Amino acid sequence: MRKQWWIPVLVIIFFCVESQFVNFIPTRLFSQYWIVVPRFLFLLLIFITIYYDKKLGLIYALITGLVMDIVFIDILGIYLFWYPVTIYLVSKLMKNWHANLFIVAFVSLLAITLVEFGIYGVFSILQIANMPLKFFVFHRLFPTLGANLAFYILFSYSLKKYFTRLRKIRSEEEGMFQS
Amino acid sequence: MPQFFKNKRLIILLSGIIILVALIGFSLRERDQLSWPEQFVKDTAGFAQMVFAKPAHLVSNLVENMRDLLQTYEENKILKERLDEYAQIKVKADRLEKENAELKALIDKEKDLASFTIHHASVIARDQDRWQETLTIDKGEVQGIKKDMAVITANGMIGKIKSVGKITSTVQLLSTVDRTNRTHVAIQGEHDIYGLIEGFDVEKQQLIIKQIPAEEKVEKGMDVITSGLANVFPKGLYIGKIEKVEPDQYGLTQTAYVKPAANFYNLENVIVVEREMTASEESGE
Repeated sequence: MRKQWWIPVLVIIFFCVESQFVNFIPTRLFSQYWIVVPRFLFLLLIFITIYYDKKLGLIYALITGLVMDIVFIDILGIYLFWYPVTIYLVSKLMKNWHANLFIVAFVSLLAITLVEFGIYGVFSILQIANMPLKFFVFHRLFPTLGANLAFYILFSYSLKKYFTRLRKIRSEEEGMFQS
Repeated sequence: MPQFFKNKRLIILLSGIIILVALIGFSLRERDQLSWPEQFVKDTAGFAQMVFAKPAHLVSNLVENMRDLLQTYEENKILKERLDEYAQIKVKADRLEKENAELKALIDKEKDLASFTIHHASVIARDQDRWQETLTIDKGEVQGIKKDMAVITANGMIGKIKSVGKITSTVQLLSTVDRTNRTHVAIQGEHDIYGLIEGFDVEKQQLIIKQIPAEEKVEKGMDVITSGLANVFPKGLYIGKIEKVEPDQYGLTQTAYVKPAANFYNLENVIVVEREMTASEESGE
């Protein structure tokens, strides 16, 4: 039971790591024109949704979306919309698919692409960003996907193990109450 | 039709979108102050980020120090050459400063557009979705930070305060692509040439100054500073050097590209600059 308390702690840690990432890992290390966006927290949300609990994943997506809107961009409603919607779509999609790590990797990249395009769309409409589509795809989307895939490869195995164990513990407890 | 309204999900989605549009509209207004729930969330998140920022800065300083150590010999050689020059400049600056103070005393003027007070602050977070380039610093309303103050590092200006919480505030960097991100600047030629920074070229990593009159001679290598005339920043904060000048479409004005002097990455300590006097005050005298 106590193992569940690590979920909010993990969310907070991922949130803080993301907020330090850009300041310390300048993307010009690789290329001057690349924009790499860390979406580690979002990957964590995807893992919670697929391997542990759909509802919990949605709730965390709502909360983190709101917090990111307030803390980073000062415009409410952008992450607040795209995070839960994408998480919801992911949970619908995974209903029919077997959750092995390759498929989850594919789904995660798809979800990140959707979030990036969604936010790009909103900012273009609000005229905050005026990035050409080609520049966006080649200098922002692809490097972002690459960086997050690298993160995925590093941590997916342990995250999957952790969440499947949590689910197992929970289903055992539920079984106990029913008998 | 009744079937349509029975679909609970659709209703939730529609009402959700309406609420979101309302929220976006609410937050896009020109706001002088954040609402208190926003300030609360910001400060709480800032507190958590502070815990992570300290070790991150430690590690990055360590790496930096190692790199410095490797370059010491080369750097030392260059610095020695500069040292003689420095002594001369310092003597000259001291003399000019004294003279300036005497002259100001003569005309009974204590403050001018260039005088400011400073607040030191540490960077605790950086916006990871890079549409707007913002930093979070660990000083806020309680420490006397106000909206629109200039933020500088030792190398030059990096941005301005965008919004203020109780103990944290958000800095909008000069490199933000935003139509409201404008800075009135002076290009230091034989006389000051005024212009407006109107954006950032993402592909070149340079600031763009538009609407410089065609007859003004702007050359590569000229220094760009804040003008102090726009009622926001004090005069004389260093921004960068002109990199390229080109005439605009019709040849009536020129567009200059400025390479910022400050590094926008790996920021640890920044200085928030509070202006002591506004331009309207001066003209009122």
